[in-house]
Order: sequence, then structure tokens, then C-alpha cells
Amino acid sequence: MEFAAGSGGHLYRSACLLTSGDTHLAEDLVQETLSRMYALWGRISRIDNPAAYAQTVLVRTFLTQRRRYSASERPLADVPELPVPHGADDPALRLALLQALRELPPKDRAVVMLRYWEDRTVEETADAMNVSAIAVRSRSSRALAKLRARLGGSLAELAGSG
Amino acid sequence: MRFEDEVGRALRLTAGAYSTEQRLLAERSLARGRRRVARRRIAVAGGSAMAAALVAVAGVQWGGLGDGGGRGNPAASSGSDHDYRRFSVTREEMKNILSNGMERAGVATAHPEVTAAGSSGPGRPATASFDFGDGWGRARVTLSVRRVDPAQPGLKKLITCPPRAGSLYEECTTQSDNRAVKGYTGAGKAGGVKKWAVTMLSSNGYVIDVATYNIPSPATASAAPGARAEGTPTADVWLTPTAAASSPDPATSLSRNPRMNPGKLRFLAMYVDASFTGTGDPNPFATVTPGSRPEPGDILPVLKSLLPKRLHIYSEGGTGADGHVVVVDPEKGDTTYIQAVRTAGDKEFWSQTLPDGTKVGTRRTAGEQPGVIELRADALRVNGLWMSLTAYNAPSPTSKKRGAEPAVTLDELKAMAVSRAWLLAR
Repeated sequence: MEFAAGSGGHLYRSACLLTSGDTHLAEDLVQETLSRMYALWGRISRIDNPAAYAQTVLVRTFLTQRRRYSASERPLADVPELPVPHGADDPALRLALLQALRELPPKDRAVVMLRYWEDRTVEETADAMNVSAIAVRSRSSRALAKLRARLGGSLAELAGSG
Repeated sequence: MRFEDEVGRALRLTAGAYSTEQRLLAERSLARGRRRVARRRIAVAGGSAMAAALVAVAGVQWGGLGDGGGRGNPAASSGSDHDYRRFSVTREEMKNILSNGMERAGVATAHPEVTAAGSSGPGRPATASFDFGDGWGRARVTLSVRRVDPAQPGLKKLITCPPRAGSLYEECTTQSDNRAVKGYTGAGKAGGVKKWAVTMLSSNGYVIDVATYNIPSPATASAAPGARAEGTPTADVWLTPTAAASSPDPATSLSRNPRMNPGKLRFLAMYVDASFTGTGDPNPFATVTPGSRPEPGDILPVLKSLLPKRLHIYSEGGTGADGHVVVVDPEKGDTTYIQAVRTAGDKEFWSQTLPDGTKVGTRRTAGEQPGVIELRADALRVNGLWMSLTAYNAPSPTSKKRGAEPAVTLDELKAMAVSRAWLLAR
């Protein structure tokens, strides 16, 4: 219980990034992650860093769920209207970032989250996602290029406002 | 600053804006984890053949629930956010819920005396009793709330009237909305005690019993207040035949119909249903001090509690009878104004009547400004409460449009309008 209460907040924020701000799905992801941790707690408590392990479970659960959902998803006929960034103090900038994340493939989003929110190395990210380090580098550079094209200078404004 | 660093900082700022109730999240996660472990143990302990047999038996029992509205599906139950083993309500909260419910049911009560008992788990029902003068003597309303898993076998019979032949009840109606209204005459020297009861199975995981009957005045009766619970869920709100028979009951008035009619009792059951959340806690709106004055903007907190969670609230406001929020859908970036008003009559446009008698009307019209769409959903309850919810794809009803469509759909607006949570708003 202590672990769940202590790590739930950080996991939830990670999940919000993975789901691009879908708080319902984020809560469900965290619950699924912590319930898996609970079921395996005897083994997990011997792991050096249960919090990092929880992040790995979160990402793997997210990617598994995305694989399941993708079969039933249908593309939208119209691209939704996008928010236009106005200024550094405008929450629309944050919404624009979430929208940009949403446009990334789930695996690219997971790489961005692990590399730049979790500050994990390429190797750690590769380990968490069960892919090779080359794949992580490739996805990382592709995702950054898309974010740069989508957000450009707006991101500097947002980062600068903090 | 490198672009990677900008991304990192932006992610931290964005993620930092999200917060959640960590204790609740942890409890729900652990509940899900326990279910996961239990399923695994069943599978391991019994082997695959035994597990298959259990699933088959469970399937029959769950299937027997019939119109449970999807509750019969074990997958739906295990995937739900409800933790049916959690129940926590204090004595004071039960007293306030029943007192507020009586006030809202529109029953004139003189010299009320309220007693209650809380509960801290599903093994024990929380109860409350409300004795009052109704102008013709003393009457009592009792309330019992028990935490259950709606998928539990056997609950269906609580809300299903038995065959008329040999039935305990003189009148009994099985109603949609998982509810039964029962009329009954208990044993008594002076011709019996007429009682009405409503039993409801809440989709949030509660068996709710409310009952009413007349009682001897305090001067002549000493046994009546000793009415106590029996084993069965419906019986715990009745006087036992022994207790009723032993009461020095000189008045034939006990056999008359209680002043609180079944319709008001049914309202009280719905009020109690709205008073408890799926997580096993009382709704704070229901436990306010009885008789307290509405806060300015009493509608607003209810409106906020009903909004789809994906929406971000930018601004809010309201008075006692209305509330509004300006929300943003983070997926689309649309800005939407949503208003909730408790109206006292308006142009009627009902298109549907729900099982509980609530009339519902929805419509989509053009707003004042070009491209602005007005979505409206109204719900008129049998007790006269008329809630009207309106949404515009603009920051205010008279502003220019901000987005192609409002950030809520008409179906979502309708779901908000018909919510029983509005019964709690003073």
C-alpha cells in the first residue's frame, strides 16, 4: 500500500504523457500496473529499484494495450482542429505538446517519455521496451524530428516559461 | 538550449500539471491486484478442470441475474473501478443523509428524532431511523444500506416480487431500475401495522432499503423503539411480529397507511442511491448539515463532478440555481461553455421517458454567433426537479465559435442531465 501510494502520483503523470492527456486511460494504466506489481510483490520487493521496475511495467502495459486497441481503432475522417499557441503562459502550449505526442506512434511516444521525462539512457530505454538500442536511437531521432516540425519555437517558449 | 532539453523541460511542465487522488488510486490498484491474485489462486488450487467448473457455475448464477444491466458479466465486474469490499460511513453521516433525504422528499416532519449506526465494511449494514410527527401521530422512516457486489448471486430476489399466492406482501411491484416497492401489514394487536418499503439494488454496489410505518406515541409505547434488525436485508427495516405485538398499542391508527407515500419513499431511495459513490464512501453533497443554507453556486460543484474527466476546466462560476464552466478538450483544443440550470418550467421538448419516470429531451440548434452550436439536454424528474444542461462551442453563449463542435457530445450532456447527483444539490 505504501509503495502504491508513494509511486502512484509519478506513475500517473507518466501515464498521462503516454496517453497524451487521456486521464481515464492513464488511471486505468496505473491501476493495471500497480495491480501487477501487487501480484508479484514477493519477487519485486527483492528488486533494487521497484519504482523503476513499475515504470517499465507501465510502458509495457501501455504498449500491449495499444496493440490490442489498434485492431479496433478507426481513423478520423477529419483531422481535429488544433490549438494555436498564443504565449508562454497559455495552457494551449501544453495542449499543443500533448497533441503533438498524440500524433506520434505509441512506441515513439514511449521512447520520448522514457528518454526525456524519465531521463533514462538509450540502453535502459531499450531494456524497458524489449527492443534494441539501435531501435531506440532510431525512434528517438524520428520522434524528435516530428516534435520539432510540429512545435518548433513554441516549445522553447513553453520550456522557458517554467 | 538543445531541443532535447526543451522537450524534457516541456514534458516535466506538462506532466506536473496532472494530479490525482493518490490514496484512492492506490486502493483501487490494490483491489484490482487482490482480484488478480484470487483468480490466480483459484486456477492454481483447483487445476484447470476445477476452474472450468467454477466458471461454469458462476456463469449460471451470474446469468440468472437477468436484467442486471451488464452486471451479470464477471469481466465487467472485475474490470470496474468499484471496490465492493470497501464501505465506510459514519453514524453522523448516516443521520445527515437520511435527514437531508427526508427534507428533499418534501415530507412535513415535526419533532424529528434521528438515530443511526455507521459501518466500516461490507459485513455490516449502515442504518438510520427517523421518527417524526406527521400531524396524525408519530411515524418512522428507516434506512439500511449494505455494501454488495451487484454480481453476487441471490440479490435479484430482493428486488423481485414473489408470486402473489402465498406472498408476504399485500401489494408488491417490481419496478425497472432494479427496485421493488412493497406494501405489508405487520402483526399487531390492533389490526396490524401498515408498512411500505422500497428495496433498491444500486449499480454502485449497495442494497438500499427504506421503509416507513406509523409508531405509537412515545407516551404510550416503550417497545416500538426497540424494533431491531433481522437477518434478511429486507426484513431489517420492519418491526418483528413479536416486537409489534408486545407494544401497548391502543390506536388503530397504526394500521392506516403512513403519511409518507410509496412515491416519496421511492424518491428517498433514489436520493440515498445518489448519496453513495462507487468507491464505498458517502457523497459529500449528501452529508451536509441538515437545514444548512445552500452555498452560493451549489449547482456548480455537482456540475464539475459530472464533467467527463478528459476535460480541463479553465474557468467556472454560478449562483445557487445555476453553474457554468468553460472547459477545454486537450485532444482537440476546443473551448466549450457548459451551463447547468435548475429551471422552474420551460418549453418542453421531451423525447424519451426513462424507467424511473424521468423525462428527457435533447436538441441541437444554432447559437447566436455564426458557427456556434448549442447542445441542450433537459431532464424532468417525477419529483419536479428540472435540470437543463447547455453546451456551446464557444467561451460563452454569445462569443464567437472556438472549435467546430462543443467538447461534449449530446449523449454526454444527456448523461449529465439525468444523473441522480442533482438530487443532492440544495
